[in-house]
Amino acid sequence: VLMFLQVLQEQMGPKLEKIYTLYRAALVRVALGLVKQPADAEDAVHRVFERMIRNSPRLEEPESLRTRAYLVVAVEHAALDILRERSGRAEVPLEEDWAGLEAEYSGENILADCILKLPVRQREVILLRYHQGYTQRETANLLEVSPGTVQDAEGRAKANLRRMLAERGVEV
Amino acid sequence: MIQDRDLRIAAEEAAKALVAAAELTPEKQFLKKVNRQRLRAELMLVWVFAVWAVGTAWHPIPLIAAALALGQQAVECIRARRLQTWSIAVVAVIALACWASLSGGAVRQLLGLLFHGLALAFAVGVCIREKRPVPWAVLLALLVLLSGWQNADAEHADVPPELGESSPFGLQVQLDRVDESGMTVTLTRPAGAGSLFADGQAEIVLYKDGKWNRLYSLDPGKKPLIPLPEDGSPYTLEVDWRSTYGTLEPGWYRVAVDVQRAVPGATFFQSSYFSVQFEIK
Repeated sequence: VLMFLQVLQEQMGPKLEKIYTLYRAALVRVALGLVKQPADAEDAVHRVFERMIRNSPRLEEPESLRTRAYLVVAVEHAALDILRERSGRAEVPLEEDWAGLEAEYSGENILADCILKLPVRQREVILLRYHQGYTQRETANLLEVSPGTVQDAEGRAKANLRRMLAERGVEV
Repeated sequence: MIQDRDLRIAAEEAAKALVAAAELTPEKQFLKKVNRQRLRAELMLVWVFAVWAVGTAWHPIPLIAAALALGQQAVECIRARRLQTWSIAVVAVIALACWASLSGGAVRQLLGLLFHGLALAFAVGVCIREKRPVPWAVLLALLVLLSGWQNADAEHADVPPELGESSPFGLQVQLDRVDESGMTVTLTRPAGAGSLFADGQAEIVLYKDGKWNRLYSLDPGKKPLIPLPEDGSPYTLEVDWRSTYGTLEPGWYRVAVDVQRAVPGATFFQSSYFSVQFEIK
């Protein structure tokens, strides 16, 4: 951990180091809920910070909602990457069955509720694009996928959102 | 067509919900939450102890502890706006305390043991899990000390400690009847126990002023030993103590019956007792 902190400080400065210190344990808990193995959960969190060093996301203050939401999306993405790598194993479910973090929404914004119910890969693209404000190319860079994949995921996410809204009787 | 502006607003709401679900709070806030949970666990321990103490002996110290624990629980619940939980807790404590105070000695003793065991197991469990040995060790030591105090206190209580029935030489003892005039006991000897004999002259002690006192025997002469059937069939021993002790007054008694075993190849007997505790009302 100390070595990792030293690397973070050298590569990204004190902000990332502070984020790591503040949220490491919480992120490991989130990852553990998805990958179930403590070693894999630690691995997922390290991947998040390695990607942040490589891809330099725009970070606000460590306590801000935008930073925290980014971290949740990033750790969910890294955890599911690990699951995909392990998918050859019999105990790991198929990719379409992977469940991300379950979140309950009690507000009045129906679209927000629909976003939370999207498949996890589509949800993270929508959040990065429309909450974090990244372009498709930046999103692809952060998720380490091709821009075409992001475009495809966003298109399917919007189609799904329209379908969900229609099912709830909301005209789009 | 979903407007980008709507998506941005909805995405912000979704992000808030997601962050809340992930409990992604800065570590300091998380620790605060953990500390609150730990405090609740500690309060729970105090609470268990207080109920146990109240259940076993009415004494001002556990009563004050119970009141303090409940008070703290109340503050926690009011802060967390969980008044219903607190009300249920208070009712549960009062009900338990009432039940314990109305129950007989054996039930009260059992309740005490139960709560004592629970409290100790809880303390040890939390001590191991939380990796905070010092405060929990202090609490454990306190509990052990207070348990000693409670046991000492029990010696002076109205109800004597229950000793139960012993089974000398593996003898099965079943109490069929006991009253102020005598008792009926069925004795079944185990296989390979050798030659066993029961002394029909039972010795009775009375629990008075926090001590067991031997009753004055009107007929100290020994009665012959009764051989128990060698084939292992049950033997019914009728003991009538009216000739030796008269009719017993109300109170707690313990009767001890001497059982002797012939030692093969020797001219002496091994002796052991089984005892039965009972109350004459």
